Amino acid sequence: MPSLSGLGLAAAGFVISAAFVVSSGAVEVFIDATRGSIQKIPIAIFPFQEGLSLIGQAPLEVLKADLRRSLLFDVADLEKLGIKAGGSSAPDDESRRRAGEAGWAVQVWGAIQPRGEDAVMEGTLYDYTRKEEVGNKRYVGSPDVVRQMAHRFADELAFHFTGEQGIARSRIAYVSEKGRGKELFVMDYDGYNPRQVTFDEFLNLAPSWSPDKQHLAFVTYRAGKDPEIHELDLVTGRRRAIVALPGLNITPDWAPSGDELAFTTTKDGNAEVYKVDKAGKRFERLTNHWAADLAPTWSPTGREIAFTSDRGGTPQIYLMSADGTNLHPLTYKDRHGTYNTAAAWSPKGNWIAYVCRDDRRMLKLCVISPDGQQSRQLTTGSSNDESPSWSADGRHVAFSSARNGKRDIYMINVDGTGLERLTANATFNDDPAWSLP
Amino acid sequence: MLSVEGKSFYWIGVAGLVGMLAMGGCSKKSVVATTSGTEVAPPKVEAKPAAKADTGPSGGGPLGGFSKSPKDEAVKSPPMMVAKADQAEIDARRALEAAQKQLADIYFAYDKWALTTEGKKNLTQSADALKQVSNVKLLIEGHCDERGSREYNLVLGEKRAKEAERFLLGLGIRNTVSVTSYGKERPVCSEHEEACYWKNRRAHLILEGAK
Repeated sequence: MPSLSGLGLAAAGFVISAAFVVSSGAVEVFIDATRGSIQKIPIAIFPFQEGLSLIGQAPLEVLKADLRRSLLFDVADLEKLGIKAGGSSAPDDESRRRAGEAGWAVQVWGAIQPRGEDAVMEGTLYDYTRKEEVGNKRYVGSPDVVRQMAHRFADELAFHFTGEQGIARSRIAYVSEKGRGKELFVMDYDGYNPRQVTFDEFLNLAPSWSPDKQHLAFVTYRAGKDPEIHELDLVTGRRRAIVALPGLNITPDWAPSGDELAFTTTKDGNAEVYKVDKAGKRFERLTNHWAADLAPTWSPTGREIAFTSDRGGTPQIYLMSADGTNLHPLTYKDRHGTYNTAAAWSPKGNWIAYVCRDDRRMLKLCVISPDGQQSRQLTTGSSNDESPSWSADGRHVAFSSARNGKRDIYMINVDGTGLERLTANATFNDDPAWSLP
Repeated sequence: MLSVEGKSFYWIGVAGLVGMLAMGGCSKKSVVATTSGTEVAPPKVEAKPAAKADTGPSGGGPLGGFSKSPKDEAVKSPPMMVAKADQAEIDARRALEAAQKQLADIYFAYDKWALTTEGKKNLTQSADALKQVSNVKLLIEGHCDERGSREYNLVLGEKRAKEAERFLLGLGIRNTVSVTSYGKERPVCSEHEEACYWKNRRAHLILEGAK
């Protein structure tokens, strides 16, 4: 239930913090929904006027799901409140008053109409406390991008109240089995609109997004050859090799700057972590040990890298500066278990997710703070959970799991709630990589 | 690799065609089945000199039509050049296949890349076979079961392949060896139980050109 006395107060608080974030240019400040220190914003979404028949794309449902998933909003159940407005017209004063009196001061309504070949979606944000419209948005596009319009509107709402970009426009790249091969696919963050982007009929693995969302780096095998790291330009369709050193070239991770990648190669005889500029020309070795060092992940500042090493006898997570200095363990065998790999640093910086193993030897997801002070198991159950990848807001983790029989992509909130399955096709899906919005 | 297969396919194809023609032309008279066994009489080609020497590539000249007083018509097999077998190539291929058959997969303990006693024994046998074909390149693939994480398994698979490589080189094989790893991406068995896991924790030895 909404417990804020009015939108004015709630919005003021958010606006102040948002203004601070924007003006300081820092990304360190963020809303941590897991602490419960920030209350969700109560919001009433009145039914949209629909002048288009939209199969499977109802913008109202897309918008509501986005707002719930954002963890920033508490979406009113208007039916439960007995409020039946909108649908054929904008909500009347009486409906807005009843919702407002019940505590839902932030109110949204919209309409979707045809315009020639296009669809036009309009959305209105209304502040009941001030009894005035805050603003409107109008989106125009082909009828098959109505979901994208609703995602965009959801992110506008998140941005208005928090100064954050929202995650509803983000996408997830993943690996899907096709025959004997594995190909890369890209889908919306809610599992809709899957598109196949490689057609090699062999093995493609481990996608990583460039920060501008234009490029995917990934591992590609060709028959009888060592795996290489390639880059696919999703705008031009052009593909090129970035790393083709002798040995295994695996686990690319794009730096937050977009100028370089960290990766693993075994060209020196065993696995070491390297950096390379995006042209694939200038290599820099970061680790130097007879044990295996692999699977680097950048901190959001680009100043540190977490990776996996078995130099202590079992695979554990280590940290180092992005130039290879200050190397030290983050997880320990006696405290965190004998098998910790596949680290993924949250874009908010406060958590590192990784694959751990429970006492039944099942792979699970765990999270640990970069100072090592806090850690806990994130997923439970009797299946192998793998390949964690964070949403841009640092509040969700996408991963793969075989918990329902076959391997699929799931997402979960960082507090362990909100488990949601994103893929539900006939094949195996794995290795999710979550883009920025 | 392709050209070897292509050639041998051509050779087999031609041999088969010749065999079929021989059967079609002579089988009724030349193969005699008896109750005590099977006697195969050598095909006799009774080629008498033809009255007219007009036998072309089709082996009998133009048809003459029916006659109440037919003349002798010479009939013989159409000419058919046969590519002679490249015995050296056949021998090499047979040696390769025989050697490949000797190269058993070796298996590893959970999370481990050290060779087991059984693995060393199998590799020792493989080394003997490899020495028979020391000019052929060897690829060692490392594989893992599904219980390790995807990326660590890629490295673990390579460690397994390299252990096998080191042991084989120590036994004095002179083949050019390369190693690779598929982690857990190419399992031979997909059930979620140890009966399956152990089969996937393997190093697989492949001679270049072998199937």
